[in-house]
Amino acid sequence: MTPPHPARPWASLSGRERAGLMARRLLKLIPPFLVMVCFLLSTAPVFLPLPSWPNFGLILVFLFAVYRPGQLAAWVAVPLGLVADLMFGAPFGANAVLLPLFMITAIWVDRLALRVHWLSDWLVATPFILIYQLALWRLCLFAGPDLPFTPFLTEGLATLAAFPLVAAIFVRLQRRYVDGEEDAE
Amino acid sequence: MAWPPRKTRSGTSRRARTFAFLGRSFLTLAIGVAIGLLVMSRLAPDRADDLRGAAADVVAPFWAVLQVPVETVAGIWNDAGAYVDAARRVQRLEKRELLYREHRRRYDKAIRENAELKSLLDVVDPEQTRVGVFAIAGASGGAAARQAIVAGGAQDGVESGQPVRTAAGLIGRTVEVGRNAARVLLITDASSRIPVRVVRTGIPALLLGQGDATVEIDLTGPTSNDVVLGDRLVTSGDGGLFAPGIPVATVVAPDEPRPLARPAALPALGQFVLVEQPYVPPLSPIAEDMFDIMPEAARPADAPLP
Repeated sequence: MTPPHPARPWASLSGRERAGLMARRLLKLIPPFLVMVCFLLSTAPVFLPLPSWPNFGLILVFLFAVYRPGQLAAWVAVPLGLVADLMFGAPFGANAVLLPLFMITAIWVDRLALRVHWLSDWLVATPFILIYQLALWRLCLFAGPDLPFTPFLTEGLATLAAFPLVAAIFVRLQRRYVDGEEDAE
Repeated sequence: MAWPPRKTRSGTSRRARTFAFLGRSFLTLAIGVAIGLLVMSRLAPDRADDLRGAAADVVAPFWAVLQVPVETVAGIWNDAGAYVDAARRVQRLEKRELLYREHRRRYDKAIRENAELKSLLDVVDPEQTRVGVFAIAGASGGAAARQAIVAGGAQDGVESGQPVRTAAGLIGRTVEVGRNAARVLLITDASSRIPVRVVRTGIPALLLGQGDATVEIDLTGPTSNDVVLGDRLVTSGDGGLFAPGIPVATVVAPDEPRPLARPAALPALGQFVLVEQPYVPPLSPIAEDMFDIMPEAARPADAPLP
């Protein structure tokens, strides 16, 4: 169903058109919900000697910031970061501070850079994710007990290893389901 | 490349600029709130405990449903790992088997002796009441904390500060409890401290988690560093909470400034763990004996000195 023209007054819309518009607004909840599901995936009960389970939510936030900044506002990263803190047992507020800054920086860098190949996205993501882990480590030291950096590093490397897979799925889903919707609006 | 392409500033209307400004202000405010929360979690780290318990409630059912496929995948991974370097490993295990056979002989002897001695001393084993047996249903993904989530919460009688163990040894203790799930602080977490005893020598020590696979042994006192490779550590029961005699770790690097040990029991998906009531050291009989040994201690405080 094609949505009504945005210039049409609300009073002139039929009940069905109004319901359609409201449902369309709910679609905006999908990106933050997906990021939360990805955080949930990272709580898999895998007990390895060093944490080497990727932080899928972080990859997804990076991909939204770089590819589709209109779909996930930077301020949404604050509540998402709080959810991550609760799930991962990090000091309450650590991810909430870093995640929006991470998004803003990613958007800013993306504006400067002209990329030609998907591999370059991976290269750009490398310093981003490693610096994120480093900053998270410093914030954890600020609010909690002494921790070594190694677990944070291994987690960052695991996240980087999972990056191409998540990026491929993200791009495919965007092209298949989301891009057509935006053209219709 | 971002899609739809970003608009350049020159072409935007006044209204759009106002909205962009409002958006930036809101973002700054939100980050400010987050910084405030972080500072607060430094000053009062326990304040978010209830929320964390609720988060555990969300995580546990999700992984309980997915347990079977994940367990299968993990099994395949482990099987694949077993083939790498198999020949050398078999040789090493066979050598170790010889060593263990001797150990087992001594162990059987020690058990017999111990049973005899116990009956002589009339030692009462502190009978630990168990809260329940629960499956492991999640972890605290991420490097900030080493926690597991068990599928038992407040409605099963789980409370904060209860020891969690398997048959192989101590796993950790409950920290944040939700309705149907609870978080368990593993002994490898950087904030974990366990009073232990070296089985061979009887020296008390403190086991410090450090956030990775091994734990540090803090041996204080003049007999410092008297551990050898393979020494076993059990809980000492000092300070309550953990009952004495639960296996905790085995020494793997005795020559470090602070010797390292590997935990005896590791949590794994779908494994069942036992949650016990906290151990309370028996104090009252000793206190009564005190009056027999030192009669003056029973004297009322306000009585005149002789």
